[in-house]
Amino acid sequence: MDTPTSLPSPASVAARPALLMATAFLCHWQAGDGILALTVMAFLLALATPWLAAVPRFPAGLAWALYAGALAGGLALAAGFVTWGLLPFAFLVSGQSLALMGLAGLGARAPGQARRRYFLMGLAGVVVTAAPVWLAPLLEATERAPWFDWLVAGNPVLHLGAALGGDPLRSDWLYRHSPMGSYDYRYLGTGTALAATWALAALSWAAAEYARRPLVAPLSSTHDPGDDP
Amino acid sequence: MNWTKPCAVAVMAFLFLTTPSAAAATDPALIGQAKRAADSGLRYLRANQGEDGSWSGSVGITALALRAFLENRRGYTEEDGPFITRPIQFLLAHVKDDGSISETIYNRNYNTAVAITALEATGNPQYDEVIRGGQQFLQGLQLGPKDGYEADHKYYGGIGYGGDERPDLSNQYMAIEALKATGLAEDDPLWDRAVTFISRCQNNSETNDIQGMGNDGGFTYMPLYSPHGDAGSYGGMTHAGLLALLYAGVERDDPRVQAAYGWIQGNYTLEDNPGAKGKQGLFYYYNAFSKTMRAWGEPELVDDRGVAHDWRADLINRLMALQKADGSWVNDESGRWWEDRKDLVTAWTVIALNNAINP
Repeated sequence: MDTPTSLPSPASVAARPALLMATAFLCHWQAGDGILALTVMAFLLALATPWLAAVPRFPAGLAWALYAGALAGGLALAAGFVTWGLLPFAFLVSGQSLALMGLAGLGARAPGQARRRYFLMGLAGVVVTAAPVWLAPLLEATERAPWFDWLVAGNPVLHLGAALGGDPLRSDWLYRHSPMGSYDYRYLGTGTALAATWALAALSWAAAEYARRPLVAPLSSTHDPGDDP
Repeated sequence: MNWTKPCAVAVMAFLFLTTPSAAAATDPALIGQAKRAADSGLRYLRANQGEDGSWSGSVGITALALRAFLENRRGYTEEDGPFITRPIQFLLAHVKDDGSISETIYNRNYNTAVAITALEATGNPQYDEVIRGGQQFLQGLQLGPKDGYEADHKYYGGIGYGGDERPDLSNQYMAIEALKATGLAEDDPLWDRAVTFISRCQNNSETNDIQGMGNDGGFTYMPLYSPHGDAGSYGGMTHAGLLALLYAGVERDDPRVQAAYGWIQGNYTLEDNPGAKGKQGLFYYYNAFSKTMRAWGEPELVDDRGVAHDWRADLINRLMALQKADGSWVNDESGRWWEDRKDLVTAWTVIALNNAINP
């Protein structure tokens, strides 16, 4: 089990869903009030997680799972108060938040310096998310190809915008900076996006748990079983 | 010999030959070829119609293909059979409670606009209620004070794809065309608001209060933005803008209309979409071009060098040269704005040919 000193701060925990929600806010400004409420709720829920994880004999993984579940339920509840249209968005945010945490957990066990690992992970996230923009010259110069679909399917921010009922690729800023919105594209359906996100979350958490399993100390080469009593 | 009379005859003949309104009609043989090309396009569409009567399962493409049939010189009607009635049923099956007609929450303006235009083209009063609902939905999309956009905002009066997205001239023109075709009252306040947004998409400093726009008379996609760079004017949008102004009731002698027509005269070509990158938006341009030229009502367009062009002949020759062996059309060089979709581009092009064929 992680020691309390290795736990991330509540602010850093809350920053992940808050960042996602802030990005979604940009994609769908009309839902601003609801998203703001959900962001505050995510922060409040995050306060409890390090405390839970620090409780002796309380598994850290369970703490994070509780956090994700509470986040999903809380967001869903808040979404219900704001508008039922936000419900899939709430579950998508919590799923993406959980997936990010799982990937961060995996990153923690990857070789190399911690700061460099997280930098590379963050960079990869930005590269994937911003692909419609930095690929704009190529998208414009080439014929539409199947990889266009993967560009949309693999972009979590687009799914958030679409789950809110928006059309992020044709939003004012993105349409001006990427030709992607002028092509024939399809967002993943909300159900597909939810299933993919939560599957990724489950996989990354399982992998992270496996990576942090207790290691068995190797037997000494000088050890002679015959010495055992 | 008295030369007065022969000279007068010669002068009369010269005037007759050089006056645009007296220009010779397009070669009937070419018109005949255009009719066959359109028939071939319609055969392609019919062969590629879905079991449910739609094309590609899309309300927008289905409505455009239906319109291609209904506006054809053969005068197809619902009595001609299921290839006309089934797409109509497909459209009706996608009518929503809010009046929109769409299979998706995206493109709701575009889909609803082309759907009610096609339903109107059937001439069947049975669809009037659906058309009225579609009109009201389109009216509700127009940005105004209810959405926080006051008259001095660059997006005031605009209509976008549907939803909360930004407005643009292309969607505006589609909505305006639909509302005009379906007989929205001329005194409806929508028209004035629409003209405000349309004018702000024009590179015409005399009539556009948006700082930073150009001054060549052409139109761009939306204020201060063109997908072909900066806020430059280009063919597809200039024809769309001019059409939208005319549909909205702006007179031909209005400086905005004159400036737009001047841009078209100065950039006359059917080789490409003038002002656009490569061949992007080429068939959209042909479709809008055919509507504008027909609405303008002159058989010839005199460019800024004084050269008269038989636009019908030019358009027909160009479209026939681009037709595929199976009767379809498609943009081989760009898939932007869905021009890599054969059914969509074929529908657009048959509509363009219909406009060139019909007087």
